[in-house]
Amino acid sequence: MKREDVLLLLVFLLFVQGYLFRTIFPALFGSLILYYLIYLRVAFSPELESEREIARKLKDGERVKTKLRLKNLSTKSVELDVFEQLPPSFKAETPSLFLNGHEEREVEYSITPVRGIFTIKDPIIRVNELRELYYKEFMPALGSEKEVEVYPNLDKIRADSEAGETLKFTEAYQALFGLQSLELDSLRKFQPGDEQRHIDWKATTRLGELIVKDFLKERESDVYIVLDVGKEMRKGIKSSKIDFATTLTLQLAYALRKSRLGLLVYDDYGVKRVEAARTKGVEHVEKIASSLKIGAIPTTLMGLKAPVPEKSLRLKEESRAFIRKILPAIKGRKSSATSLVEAISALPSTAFVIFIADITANTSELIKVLLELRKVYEILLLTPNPILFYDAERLDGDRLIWLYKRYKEREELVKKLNGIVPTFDLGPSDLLETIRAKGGLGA
Amino acid sequence: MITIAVIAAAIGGLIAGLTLPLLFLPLLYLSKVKRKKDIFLLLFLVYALAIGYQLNVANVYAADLIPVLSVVVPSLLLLDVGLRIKEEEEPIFARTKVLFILIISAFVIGWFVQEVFVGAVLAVFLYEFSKDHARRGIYAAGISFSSLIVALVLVQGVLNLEGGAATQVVFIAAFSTLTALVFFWKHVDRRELWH
Repeated sequence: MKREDVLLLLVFLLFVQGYLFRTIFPALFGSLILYYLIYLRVAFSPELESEREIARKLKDGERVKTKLRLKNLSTKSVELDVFEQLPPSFKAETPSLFLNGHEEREVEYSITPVRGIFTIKDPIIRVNELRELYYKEFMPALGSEKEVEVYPNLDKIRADSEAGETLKFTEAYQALFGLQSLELDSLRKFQPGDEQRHIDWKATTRLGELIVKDFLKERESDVYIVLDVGKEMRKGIKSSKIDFATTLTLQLAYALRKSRLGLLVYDDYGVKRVEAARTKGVEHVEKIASSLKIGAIPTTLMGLKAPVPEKSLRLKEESRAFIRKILPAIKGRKSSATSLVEAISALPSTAFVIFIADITANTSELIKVLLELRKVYEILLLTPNPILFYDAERLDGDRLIWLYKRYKEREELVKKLNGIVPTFDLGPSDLLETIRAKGGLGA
Repeated sequence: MITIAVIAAAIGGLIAGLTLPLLFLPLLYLSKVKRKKDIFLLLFLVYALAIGYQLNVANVYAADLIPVLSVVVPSLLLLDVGLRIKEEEEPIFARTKVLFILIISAFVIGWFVQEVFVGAVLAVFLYEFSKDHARRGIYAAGISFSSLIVALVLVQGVLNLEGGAATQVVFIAAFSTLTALVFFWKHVDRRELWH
């Protein structure tokens, strides 16, 4: 039933009432209500002009502002509701506003797109009469369609994966790198996966954010980092995976300074081994770094905020120096898979093993090796994700779609590997803070 | 503005000797304040039937205009104010306390001098509709109403009879309906109840 019908019904009932009760007043009142409806109907003739602005290139899942310019061409005030005609899965606000006679206004509201290439029409604008008895819908003009390209949102992908993986990584780290002692190491910000009982409430109250206590770790077993520096790790992208892997290795070494740490580096040509030290501490990290002819760990690298000793080095120089040192020692080999087997054969009988490797090259060999190794060792696999290292300036529509497909394939592979050993896909700035915090880099 | 409309309807009803509107006016006021437009519409339907039941006019040609206008004008004002979307944007009367007090004073004086009340209510009524800038709508409604008056005057000889109320009602209903049909020819999209 329409609202107007209620009033028409009232008019009819008043006429009937007047006739049955032999009284004129209801009939007169009914007539006046009818004339009131005539007034509203005749007066309602809205005219509107609208134009919408929207960016042509959008990011998947990222709210984007769209501007709608509206002009009331009539003399009467009207209420407007804006209804977007978007492809399925898009989300949009439905703004409402008032426009006085001849008023022009620009309304801004958000649209959340999903990936793909779409043709988007202008919105339907419903003009309501001020008594809300009548309305008129203004459909978009022909030719108002605009093509928009919605790209996968790398930030979102990274954030989603990081949130989940940081949590998993923290758990895995705690499992792998041993129990905490009662000796307080440092205070730091709360991170997902931290235990609530470690929150320092006094510091939290003082600083206005959650602060947790870090305790020194106790670990007696050897820890080996097995680093892949094969050609897949060195492919030509802006910030190469090997840069990241090198830095991560060094920072892990520092983080694990209280463990007996060794390093195995392999590529397509062979293996280089740095024995696990018999002593623990910062000196051993320096020893590893100096044996590789690499300086101390720079404090400013990749989000690392804690003060660490010695001078800073630039990342790329550091990586190059590292690779220059490694490669000459391991000439003459043909396959990184062979080198991998050789590398693991160099492992001691018991150790914690952290693999930093590319998982797309020699995947089947890597899986075989991991399946064998997990019988004897506790293993963590860290793998730099090439998609997250991609140069944003070189991105275009086709490349993004290709990258997204690669990313999905990779996600499946990571899932599979996760079924074997804890596996973490890493981006250029992932997890270092976690490593720092858990490993006590700030000490 | 709803406050003024409700007070006007209450005083107008009392001037005409009606008590039933006093029962419904608080409910109408509440439904408007709570922005329940559909409930307001249904309550207004009952309110209109109630005042139609209570106010008895036997002959349109011999009717006392003051009580009729005291009830009809505030009731139409109440309907319009109740249906309007934004209460807070419109009532200059309500915002400007002096004007509000003046209008209410006129209503109170109107309790004793009924012409003052009718004049004040008509002033508010005209002000309310003047905000619409709807010249065509005013012409259409004005022409329709005027033609009804003219028609009633023209057929006075036939209709002005003792006990001819039913005939007068039929004439008014038929004439109004035919007039409305002319304007209802225009298509407009209509809002649903409870939407």
